[in-house]
Amino acid sequence: MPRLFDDPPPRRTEDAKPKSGDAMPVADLVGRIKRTLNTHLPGKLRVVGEISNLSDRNHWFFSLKDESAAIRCVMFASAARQVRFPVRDGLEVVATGRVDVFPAQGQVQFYVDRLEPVGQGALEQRLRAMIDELRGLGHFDPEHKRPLPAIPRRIAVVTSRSAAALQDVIDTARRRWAGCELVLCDVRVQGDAAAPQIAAMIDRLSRDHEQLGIDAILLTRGGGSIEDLWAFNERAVADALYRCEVPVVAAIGHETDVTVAELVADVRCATPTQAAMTLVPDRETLSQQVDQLSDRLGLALRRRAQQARDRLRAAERHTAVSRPDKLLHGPGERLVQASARLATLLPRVTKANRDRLDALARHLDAVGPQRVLERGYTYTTDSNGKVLRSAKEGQAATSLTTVFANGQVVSIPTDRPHADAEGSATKRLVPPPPAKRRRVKRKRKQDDGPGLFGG
Amino acid sequence: MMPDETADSSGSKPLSFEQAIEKLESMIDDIESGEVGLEEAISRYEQGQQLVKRCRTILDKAEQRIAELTPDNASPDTDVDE
Repeated sequence: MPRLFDDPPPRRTEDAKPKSGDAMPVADLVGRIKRTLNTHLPGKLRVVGEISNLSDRNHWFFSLKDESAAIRCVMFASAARQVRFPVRDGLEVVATGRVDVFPAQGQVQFYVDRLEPVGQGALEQRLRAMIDELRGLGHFDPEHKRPLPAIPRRIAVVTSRSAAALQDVIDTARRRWAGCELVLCDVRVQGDAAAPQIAAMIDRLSRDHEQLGIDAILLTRGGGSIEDLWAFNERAVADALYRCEVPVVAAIGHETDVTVAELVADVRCATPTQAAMTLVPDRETLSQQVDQLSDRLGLALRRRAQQARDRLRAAERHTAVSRPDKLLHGPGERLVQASARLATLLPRVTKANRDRLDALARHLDAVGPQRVLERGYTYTTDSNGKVLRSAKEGQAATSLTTVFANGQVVSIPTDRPHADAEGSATKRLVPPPPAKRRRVKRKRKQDDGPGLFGG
Repeated sequence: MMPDETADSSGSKPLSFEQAIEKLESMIDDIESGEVGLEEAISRYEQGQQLVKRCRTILDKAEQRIAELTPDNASPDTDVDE
């Protein structure tokens, strides 16, 4: 220590009174303390203590204390953000950091870089880690959940004989349907023996459930601290539940507590009562179901009987049964019907042929003399409509009717003596068949009237 | 013991409530479908009535049974059957 006083003299020596000549400024003292601490304490320390006077607005300020001592702590915002669990007064933690002096206050402080929980905090951390791990393994997968039986005959209630939860389950089951049997599987639900016992019981029920007639398991325990419920967070219990072949309903602790066992179970319920209600069917509902089926059964038979009656009645109405005489008349009727059909059919066939013939005849007419007339030819008939084929016949006629394509002209032959000359002239004008005369027109104009009507 | 009139066709074990309900439903379906003959339908109706009776008997069990299974017991049969 004497070296402290061998250091260089204080700066304000001029103003200093002789009494303070050997005194050092505060800053020097604090500086020396700081240097001493930095030199003689390791740069990284782990300190266990309880948090108090926590102020966690931005940077965190708190004290770490135990029964006999306390130290101020600082945790800068950047470090505080890394803390993954709720920090509160009274929580026991392990703080990692370094000791230093805050010169402005001359205060020795612990500068914390990292906080870890111990005790309850450690359990919570373990629980979270376990949940993460089991989720990764698929222990909570919905596809792995077994459906609950609609009407279980026997339910294994895995809990402590002394648990209040057991009475809740028994009361609820009795109220809903006393016919559903309960099998109490007494296990420890707290302490070190609890987890192995629960796991062994679940395994046994899974193995022997057919022999025991067990259709479902109800795993339950009342509320408690995280330590009290810890058996239900153990891996052994989680694994036993995961491989269990019987559907499991779990209700552990209060509604707000979540245990691993509940997450692995096929159905999680908030309370033992709710778990019992989930598993034990309601007698009234079942009774109604039976009544309905009973009604349907009766109705089905009545319908079936009615169906048989209807068929019988239909058979009775059938001609073969109701009018056997008709069976004899049958063939005769067919013959009459056939001849009647034939009678109507025959005229229809002949008429069709006649119509066809008429059509052909009309067609033939159409392609007859008309076509020739349209090309400029004419023919001549006498007053009786007889076609005149020579001049001689024309001279003999009282009147001549000359037929054009679009009408006819009637004329009276006048110059009978020159009939031959006229005939040759006509021949020049009018080609071969029927005789025709140009003069006819003129003549018709001269003596009209009677000639028109071919006298 | 339960009266055994509705024993499974295979043998001795009385039907559970659920089995009885299922069997009853399938019998009703058979009758309703009209595919079974009338005599067969009547016979199934009678069996169905037995199943209804069986279900009602199960439901009417008023006394609650609570068996016990202790962790150390090696033969589960004995301690379950009262």
